[in-house]
Amino acid sequence: MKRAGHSLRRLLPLVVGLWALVGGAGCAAVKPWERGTLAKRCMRFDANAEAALLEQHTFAYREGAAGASGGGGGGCGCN
Amino acid sequence: MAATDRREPRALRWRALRWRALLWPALLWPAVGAAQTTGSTRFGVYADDDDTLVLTPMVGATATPALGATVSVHYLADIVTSSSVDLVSAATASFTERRDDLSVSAGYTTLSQLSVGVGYDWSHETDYLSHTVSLTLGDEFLDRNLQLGLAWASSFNTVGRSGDPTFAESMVNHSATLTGAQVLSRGTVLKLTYQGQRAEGFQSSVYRYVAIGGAGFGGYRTAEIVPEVRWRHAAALALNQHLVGDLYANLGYRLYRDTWGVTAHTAELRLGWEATRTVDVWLRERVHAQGGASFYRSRYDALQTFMSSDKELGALLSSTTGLQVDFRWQGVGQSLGVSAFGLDLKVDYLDIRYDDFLPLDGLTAWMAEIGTSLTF
Repeated sequence: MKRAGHSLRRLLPLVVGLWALVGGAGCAAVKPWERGTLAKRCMRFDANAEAALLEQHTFAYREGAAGASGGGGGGCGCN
Repeated sequence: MAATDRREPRALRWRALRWRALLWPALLWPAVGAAQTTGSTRFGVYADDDDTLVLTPMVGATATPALGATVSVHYLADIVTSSSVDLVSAATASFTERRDDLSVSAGYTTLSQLSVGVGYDWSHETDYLSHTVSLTLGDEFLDRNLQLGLAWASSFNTVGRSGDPTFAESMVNHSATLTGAQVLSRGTVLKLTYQGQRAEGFQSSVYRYVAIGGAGFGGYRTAEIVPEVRWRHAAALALNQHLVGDLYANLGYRLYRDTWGVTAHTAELRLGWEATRTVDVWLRERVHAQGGASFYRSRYDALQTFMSSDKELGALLSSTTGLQVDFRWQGVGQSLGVSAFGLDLKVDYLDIRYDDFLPLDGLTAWMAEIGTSLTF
């Protein structure tokens, strides 16, 4: 249990640092009228939520890892 | 080997409840009086060379009854037929069973883009029952260049065992998810996600056994036993990038660790081509590498506190290669009240190699899906 806690503590500064880095880069804010490309389906993270849901369920069942792939998580209802 | 059906008498109680649960959303839907409604269907097939076939039909509807408000209902079933080596090791020939999953959710987004959502998910099969409640919060900052999200989900599970109506164990899973998406340029957006989960309760498989001692004389099998608590941490990075012209790339990486000793790295690259205004074509490659749980063994020399030969808890390397084609038509069928129609087709090939799993070196599988959506 401690090992995962340690790895999380090591991971946290990395995530915060990365976020500060990209946040700084993001200060050159993109205006609403410049978002034509960002609005394309190919640029959206939630373009096909239902397909993503099925895929996450398949991989969660076939692999020992799960999470951080969108959605709130929960029970798989399988045994 | 003869197939067995896991249906039990107690399933009859649930059958009645299940159909009542499915009926409620259908009865309530007209009362929503939705200004816009999207109906969707999906059908997935998973078939592997370990004699497992999974059929997954899904139907759903999302309505916007008022400006900023959404209400959704989804139902899916997993129909599994398997005579996997896992079952042979559990001294069961094969089985066919069905899982029903019904979810409802509602959300509201203010004009200032603050969003809240609540959800409930009910999942049932003859030897497993799960209730999940969830809450989501989101907001946008920096002239909508930064989106932050927070999600919480709690799942309350009852684990049963086929052929033993008196067996019932509980497992509770809580998860928290933090998400941040940052627009970096006119053609680049980055998303970071962290999800922590704590599962406590009965997490062993009642059907899985481990081998103790030699393969010949003196060897025997006993039920697997895993720790009652599992903390799981996953941090993911996703980058969507416009390349040139009609070409796009989606890059993703996830680091996963848990208190059972599983560490995993998952990387994915998707290349998208906006072939026409109505057709997108995707190619993707996903690679997943994981180290096994600290107590995992394919065979044990002697009894230990925790023991599992679940191949999903062992070291493995998997590769998924796929093709997806999305069609979207706007403004067709307006005379019928249809404002948009969508169709997507997807095929993936999955190859998993196990480092240390005696019955199998690996497995390969085909996964195919077809999805449709209609917006009125």
